Amino acid sequence: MNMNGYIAWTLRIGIAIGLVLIVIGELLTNEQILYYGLLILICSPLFAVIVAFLCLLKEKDWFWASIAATVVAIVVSGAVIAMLRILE
Amino acid sequence: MGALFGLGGGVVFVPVLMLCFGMNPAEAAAVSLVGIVAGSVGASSVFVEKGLANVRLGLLLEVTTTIGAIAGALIAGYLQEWVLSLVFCGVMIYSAVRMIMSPEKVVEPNGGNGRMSFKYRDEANGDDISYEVQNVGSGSVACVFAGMLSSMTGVGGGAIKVPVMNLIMHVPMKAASSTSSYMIGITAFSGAITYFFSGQLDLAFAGGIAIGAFAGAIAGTYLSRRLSTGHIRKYFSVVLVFMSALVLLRTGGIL
Repeated sequence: MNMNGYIAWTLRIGIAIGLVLIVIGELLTNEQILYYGLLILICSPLFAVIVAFLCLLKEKDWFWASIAATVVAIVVSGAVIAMLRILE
Repeated sequence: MGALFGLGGGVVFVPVLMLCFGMNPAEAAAVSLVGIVAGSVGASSVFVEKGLANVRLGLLLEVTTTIGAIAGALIAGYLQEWVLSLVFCGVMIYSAVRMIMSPEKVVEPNGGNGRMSFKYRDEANGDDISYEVQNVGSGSVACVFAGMLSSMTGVGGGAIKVPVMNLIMHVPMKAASSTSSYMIGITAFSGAITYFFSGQLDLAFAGGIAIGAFAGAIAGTYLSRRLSTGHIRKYFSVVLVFMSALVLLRTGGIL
């Protein structure tokens, strides 16, 4: 499987697990299940970028791997900074 | 719409949630971001596998767009909202006119496997489309501008990123809109996760919106793969004009 295949499957697994939990949570009106379903769904794009980074590292494509690493760093730090602001 | 045109749909989601469901702006934005992530993930899982979404280009432009978004957030307070909205609408209408008036220009790779040479199969006609991304520098700068406008006006960057990729970088329309769909999920993640942990997200409502957005994305990917590039460009131009009208109505306090 190539990089695109790994990314596509990461996204598919993320949305499949997320949506199954969301549907179960909605049907059982269980907020805990809904919580984890939404969390998995929301994090799927980040997981996919991490997978892209690992695939590019494996391909020794250093230029694009550094770009993917930068995206991970920006996205994660942006989320952390926003959360710290909320906690203040 | 997100899957078809590479737009997040926040410009539609937020006013609908506020007007029809009585949500306040923060609640509507939180639920809207979850819908955008669900739509993007659903569409990208197909577009990336088919090679329509250009992952490498998407990651590169994600860096420049985010830099622009941060800059925009820093200077937004110094500018009048109506001025920003007018600039945003001006750019969208200009892009719409250019897309209708000028034919698509795609540059084929000049031999070899360059860093910016890519290809995909167009399922509408079965052709393999090879293209070389042009004007990477000016396209990246334009994406900084897209990120700035996006964070200053609160409207997703897809409306500017797709024309930047198509008109400046000469990325075929299908690849541009699919790449934008992929990027939108990454961009929306930061906002969605922040709202999620801050407790501002209505979980039951967000779950319902996620299911609906995913279903819409699957329908959008089906249509997108079968429509011709010319049709997608034409419909995208109409959507840009519609979005401009929505932004102007919001700025005027009507929405």
